[in-house]
Amino acid sequence: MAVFNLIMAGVGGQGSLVATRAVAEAAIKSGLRPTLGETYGASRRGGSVFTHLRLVPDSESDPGPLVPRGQADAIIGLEPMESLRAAVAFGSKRTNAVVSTMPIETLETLSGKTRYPPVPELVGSLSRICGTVWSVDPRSLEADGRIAALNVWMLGVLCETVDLPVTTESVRKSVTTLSGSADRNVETFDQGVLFGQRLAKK
Amino acid sequence: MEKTANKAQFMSGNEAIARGAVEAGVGFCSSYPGTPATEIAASIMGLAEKHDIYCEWSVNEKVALEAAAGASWLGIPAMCSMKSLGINVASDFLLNVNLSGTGTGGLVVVVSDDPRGHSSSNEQDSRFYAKAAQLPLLEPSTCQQSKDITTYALDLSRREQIPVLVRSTTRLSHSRSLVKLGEIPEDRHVASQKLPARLFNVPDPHLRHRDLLLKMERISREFDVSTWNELDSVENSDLLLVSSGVSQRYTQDAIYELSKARLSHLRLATTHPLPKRLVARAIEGASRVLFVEEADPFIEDEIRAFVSELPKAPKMYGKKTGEVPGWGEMNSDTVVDSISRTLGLIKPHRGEEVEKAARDAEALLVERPLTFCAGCTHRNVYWAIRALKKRKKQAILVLGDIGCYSLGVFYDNTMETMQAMGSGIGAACGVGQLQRFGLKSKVIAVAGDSTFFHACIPALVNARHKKADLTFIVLDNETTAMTGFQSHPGAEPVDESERRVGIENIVRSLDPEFIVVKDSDHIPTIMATLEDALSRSGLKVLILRGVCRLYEGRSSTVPEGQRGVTVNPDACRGEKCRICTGQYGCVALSWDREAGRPVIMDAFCVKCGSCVDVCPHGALRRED
Repeated sequence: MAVFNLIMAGVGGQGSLVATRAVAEAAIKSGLRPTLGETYGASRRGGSVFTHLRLVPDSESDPGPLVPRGQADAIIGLEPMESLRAAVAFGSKRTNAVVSTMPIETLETLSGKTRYPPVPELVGSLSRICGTVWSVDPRSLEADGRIAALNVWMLGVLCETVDLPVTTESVRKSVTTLSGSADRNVETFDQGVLFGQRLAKK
Repeated sequence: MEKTANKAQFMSGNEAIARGAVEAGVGFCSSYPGTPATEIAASIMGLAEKHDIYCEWSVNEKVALEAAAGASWLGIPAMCSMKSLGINVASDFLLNVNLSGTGTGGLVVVVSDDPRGHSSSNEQDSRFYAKAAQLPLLEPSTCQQSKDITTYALDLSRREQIPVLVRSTTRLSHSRSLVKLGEIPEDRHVASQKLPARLFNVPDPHLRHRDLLLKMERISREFDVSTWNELDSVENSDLLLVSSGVSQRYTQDAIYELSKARLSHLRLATTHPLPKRLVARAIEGASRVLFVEEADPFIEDEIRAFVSELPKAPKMYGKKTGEVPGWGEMNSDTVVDSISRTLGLIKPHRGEEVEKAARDAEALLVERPLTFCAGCTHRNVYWAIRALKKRKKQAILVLGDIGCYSLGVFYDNTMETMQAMGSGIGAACGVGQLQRFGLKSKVIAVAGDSTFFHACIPALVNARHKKADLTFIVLDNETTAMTGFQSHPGAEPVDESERRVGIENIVRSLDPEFIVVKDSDHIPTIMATLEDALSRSGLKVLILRGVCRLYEGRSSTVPEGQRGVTVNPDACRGEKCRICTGQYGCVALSWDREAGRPVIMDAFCVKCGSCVDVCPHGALRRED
């Protein structure tokens, strides 16, 4: 059973479910069998959210809905500390991580009780656990007032930086289907793809 | 034929259970919302009109189950779904109707457990209700099986005329995979004009019990040859794994990972009554057995008891012996660890270097506690209670309930108890009698609107009747917010099929000493009202109307032309104060470390202006 495991890590409300759903739909079109583990409850109220996507050949039976320890092939991190939290549990040298460096503080760090860890330390720590780490600064997206679409933008970056069992074109198609043609999500996805291409060339 | 038949659809376990019921021709569905079960009834509601199904969010799970049985008695196939804690509420009726029977319609009871209590006030295993009520229990393992087994469950219930339980767990209910669809029957339901005979167990409940046991024996024989259960045998196996539900898949993952070990696997889906013949055959060739299930040793206990009837007993391992943790959620890693422990294998790891890096990384991580949404009015009420607690010389005891406002326990422990639905006002009935034993503290009970209807009314009547001295606060945002905005009796009717039942009318009919209805977006008003209520004796009821910002956000976000909030840097006392972000803690307020003052995060702020009253220095104010 050759499984491809993807984790999307972020904070409630960042839309990780929609983005992983797009990869799952693309996988179905490519003849794969997806299992998508969703996290509810915390998803709306600011907690950590991990979405687990596991892809197997269509002939295989459904694997467990959670990625086993250290077996993530890809981690998309929508938030640096949550990315590290995911890597601690699911990362190893087989893992390629694509990580946004823009932090979202917690109530405890805002109140001054604890300090939000320095982002370079988080990225350094990620690099010691994972095989490859692409750290990505989404400031251009924020300047554009589109940080809410970080999920699809990061998905675009992922498609060009990490070897996936689905093509960029097929993921793009499912983003289009899931968000409707009038939506700017597809445009944001394309920008992510361009960003990812430039990053991969370096 | 339904066009979707034979097509594969990407479905959650809950959606698949709903689809299975619809394919079985369900005509009546009732439920009370609760994570992780909510989407089962919600999905049927989505198909209700097209397939002529009556569907309702009942006032609580007991009424839901009674209503579903009523339909089944008159020949309409029925389903009732609920979360783990819901079956506790419904169990009183379940342990009567099991003996009386469900008539010809058929009744499937779906319960979705929440191991680890991701969205629950406890961790419980609801399978024991199948044993307590002596009813058949089915535990699907995949989304496909969730659909197929629900269809079978309704058929079995129709044949035997007793409720059939289907048990899911969080990770099955809330994971998605491909499900091959079947046909949906097109025939319409026609209700019988007569109730079946003998819908009472008196005067001989024991004889009805005897009859039920005979039915269960027949079902046991059916389960013995059922293809829902499967045995994956390996020759000369080191260990036989016995699993059920989603744990089957964790076990399969573990077998794949530990490819060098010789592992057989008995996958059970019909777990009560036990398919004894199959279990006996599987155990015959095994010297060691390991049980993998969520959350309590249910199959383990049953099989341990059954093995005593066999000529030869294998060595058995599980939650009873500590190889498998007796609490918490299962996953593939737990199964790998449990097998490794049982067989004395070295458990697989990521290599020393990565393991060390992961351990070091943990020190960097800061917890991300759950909190009220930006602009949530519940925060204002707890802020006011906390301020009074600090100001008053007398202590204030706050007994709480189940809903979004339960987050009050994380809000500086302002809400101090959280038990079952309705237990805040229930326990307050007791606490509110202790003045005779010297209790000086003021007593507050807090509940939400949907919870009020679900379980608070008997306790409130009790409080009135016994003249308990307490203040009952109903946080009324007119929807079941926690689970995704399901309708309830006090909410705006969805359509003409519903009629509103006002909370205020119910409370007034009890004639309390004091009743006030106020909005909870203005903190000084809440403070003044609460202070007034606490100064009186007897039963005081405050209905505080609130707004769920998520619900509001569905249609329009912020009212047109609403002025926002700004920070006046001259008035702000900076780091040494930090009341706004450090104590009030609205998620739309961030802290600018360089400037040493708060920042309003426009992307999250709903411009409610509640925070303006929180700053004692007037540094937060409405925009001009």
